[in-house]
Amino acid sequence: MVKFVESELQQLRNEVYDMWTLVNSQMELARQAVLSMDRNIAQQVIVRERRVDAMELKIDSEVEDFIALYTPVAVDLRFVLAMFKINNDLERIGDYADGIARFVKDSDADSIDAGLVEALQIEKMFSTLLIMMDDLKQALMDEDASRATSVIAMDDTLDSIKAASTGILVDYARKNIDAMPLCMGLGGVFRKLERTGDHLSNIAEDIVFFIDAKVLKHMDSPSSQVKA
Amino acid sequence: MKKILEKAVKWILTASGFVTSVVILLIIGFLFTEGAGLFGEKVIEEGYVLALNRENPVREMDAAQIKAIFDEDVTNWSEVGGPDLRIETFRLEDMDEYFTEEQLGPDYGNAGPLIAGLVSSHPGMVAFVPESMIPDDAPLALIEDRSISPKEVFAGSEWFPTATPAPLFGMWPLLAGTLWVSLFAILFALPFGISIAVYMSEVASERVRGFLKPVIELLNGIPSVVYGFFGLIIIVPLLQQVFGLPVGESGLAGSIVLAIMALPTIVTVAEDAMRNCPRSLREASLALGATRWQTVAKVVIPSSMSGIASGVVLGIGRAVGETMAVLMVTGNAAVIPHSILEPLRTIPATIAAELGEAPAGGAHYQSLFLLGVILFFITFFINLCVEYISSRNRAKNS
Amino acid sequence: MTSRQESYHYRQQEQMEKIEARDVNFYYGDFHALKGISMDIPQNKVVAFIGPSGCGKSTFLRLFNRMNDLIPGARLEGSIKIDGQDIYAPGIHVDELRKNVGMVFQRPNPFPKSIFDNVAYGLRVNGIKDKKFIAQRVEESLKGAALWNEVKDKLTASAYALSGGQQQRLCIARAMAVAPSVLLMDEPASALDPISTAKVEELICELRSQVTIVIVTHNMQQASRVSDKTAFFYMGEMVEYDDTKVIFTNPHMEATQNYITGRFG
Repeated sequence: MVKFVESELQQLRNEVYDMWTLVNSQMELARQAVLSMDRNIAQQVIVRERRVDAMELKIDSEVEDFIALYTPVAVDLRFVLAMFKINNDLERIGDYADGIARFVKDSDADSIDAGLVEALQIEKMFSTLLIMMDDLKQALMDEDASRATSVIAMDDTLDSIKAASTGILVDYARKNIDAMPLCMGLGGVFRKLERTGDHLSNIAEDIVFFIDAKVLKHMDSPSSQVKA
Repeated sequence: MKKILEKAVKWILTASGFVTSVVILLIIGFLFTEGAGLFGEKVIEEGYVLALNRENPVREMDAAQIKAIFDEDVTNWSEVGGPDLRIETFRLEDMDEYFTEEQLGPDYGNAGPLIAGLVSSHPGMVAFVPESMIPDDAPLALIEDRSISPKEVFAGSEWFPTATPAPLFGMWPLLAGTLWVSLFAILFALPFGISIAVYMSEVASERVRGFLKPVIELLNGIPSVVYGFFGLIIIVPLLQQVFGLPVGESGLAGSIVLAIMALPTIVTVAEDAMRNCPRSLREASLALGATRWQTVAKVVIPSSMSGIASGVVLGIGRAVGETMAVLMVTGNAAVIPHSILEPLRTIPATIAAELGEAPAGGAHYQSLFLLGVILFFITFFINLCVEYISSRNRAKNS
Repeated sequence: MTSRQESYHYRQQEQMEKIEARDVNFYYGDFHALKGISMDIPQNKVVAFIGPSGCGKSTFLRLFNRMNDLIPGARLEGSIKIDGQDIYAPGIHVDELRKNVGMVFQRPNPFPKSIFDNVAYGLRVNGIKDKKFIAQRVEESLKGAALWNEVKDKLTASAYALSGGQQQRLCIARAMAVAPSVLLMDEPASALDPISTAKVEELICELRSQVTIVIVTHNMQQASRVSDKTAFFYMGEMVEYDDTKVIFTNPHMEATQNYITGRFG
């Protein structure tokens, strides 16, 4: 396409990267907040959530304008649609970070028992998510579909940790009845983190669609691929 | 059925094209061969000789010299390379100056020997007599009778096809006359023609143009005799008055009449060409801030140049080939003109005027054909020039 | 900010409108071609006129450089001002106006002259004789039209040797050579293939910082791609005139929406 359209596309891409960075840092701060049950950090996350929402609206509007004004087709259309959906997924992830921060803020607890933390593999959960996020951003920057696909596999880790967490939390709650609210809250955290993983998988599929025009959605394994 | 019809049509067209081409080639061929035949003719009139006293060493004279001698412009043999001796000319008409009826005998039977005797006794005499009259054993010398040379014809400055003993076929007067008249006709017709064409295509309103155009095309159809008449009645006396000439008949009158005759053609074709200049070009020029006249001069005229050129070719072609009108107003003087205000005669006028008098097959007859050939080349050359100019224009512009 | 956003920001700071039209009614003889049109065209922006065939957009465009004067029976009511001056006032020199308001036509129409002479034509008819200046201007204009590299070795060749797209860019260079402040483009790319069209559109985007551009197009995507503001014309009236973004995402008039979505007739 023509030069000035290229610059508009690049502009859109950069804004999505900015959104990515923002949401990434939200999730990182949420991790810190949970691990140290620090209310101040949680407050930061909650305040910044407004920015995440504003950015999502801005990108939405820009995508709409781009489609209306430049009637993109083929790869440009797929790109713009991908940006639109990634934008939405990122905003959801931001929402979850906000939710986790609210849990930390509203909770009475000052810390979580170290043993519990270890049993639940909270650190691993968070770090996997953050790695997935980074990989996906890199995959988008490099337009590397295979890297995006490999991220999808990491979602299994998240699913299994979350599945295990339920039992561990129930056990812990039985033994420490006072920690019931904390455990329920942590259960919520894990749900959110697991959903974050789902959204990241969606983002991965969107990236693959944009690059290869292959549809991976609603399939059991990414290896059975259908031509779009 | 349709196929047969189409084939038939195709054959008819091919045949007629073929026939037409062949006829044209034949006409041109005839023209050339007859014209070229002039160079096979002898200088001295057919059947006649120029007899000299045997002592006279002169053996060769060209037609101009012969005429000069018999016109008594040249009176001494030394002027033509002979001895210092007065020239005495003798023609058949002079016979009764020297001889009586009885001497000549019944049917002039004795004329030959008598003349021979006369020449032998007059050392400076040259006699122009029929060959048959001279007895074979006469003690006379004869001027060598060569055939007419191209130099005489093309470089000769006198046109006197009915001169005796040797007709002069110098074409320069006619050539000069034709060129003068044509040149001036072009000089007048071109600017006027283009101006009128520009006026009609750019300035005139629809109504005016609707009136003018048929009028100009009507002018095209007027017979040339009428133009000649008009020239005689109006232009010739006018010129006589304005320039104080002894006679108004002149090259200038011819040029003016020819210019008027060429105008309608030039105007019609040039105007059509200019009207066909695409509107988009005019708009582009105006949109750049050019005035209307700048647009006409810099865009319309250059882009219709090939059309204007063909109009000019047609107009000038007509002008150069015109016969009747020119004949009537140029004064019919077959001499080299020194200014446009002198009477002159053009080639077509010459052919028209003299072809009736020239004995068929004779030198005069053939010289007229040669004139036709020259005219052919002149027109051809003008066409070539204009073609060259307009094709260069076309190449430059497209 | 995107370049588009920058231009909106800039616009808010602009005070003067380059072209002002008020209550323009235009007649061809008895035919009422333009009905009561008022609009302002801002400086150094691209404004597109869209609408179905025969809706009057080209007619309106041609009012800005008085090309309609050539048509017998043409009559204008209302006023059109460029840089605050009524261009139909008596005493206005039309050729001066046209030096300032250039035009590019639908079909490329180079003169039957060389490439150099084509671009130099506008300068020469406006009395410029300095050869060095002319040569320099020709080079600048051809570079500005992104044509210089393609023709610099054959400036004396005939303009007709160029392809259609190149000829149209030549016409743009020719129009720009006299440094107009307004450039009117009447469907400049409609006779061109997609690649040439893209080049012309790029050119429009580059030129927009130097001149005010008004472009008539029946290609809506072209209008949406290149213009800052768009006016929709229908049957001699201007139905809607707004920022291009608004027209193509959320127009106010239903007629506009019907036209751009293709639901017409």
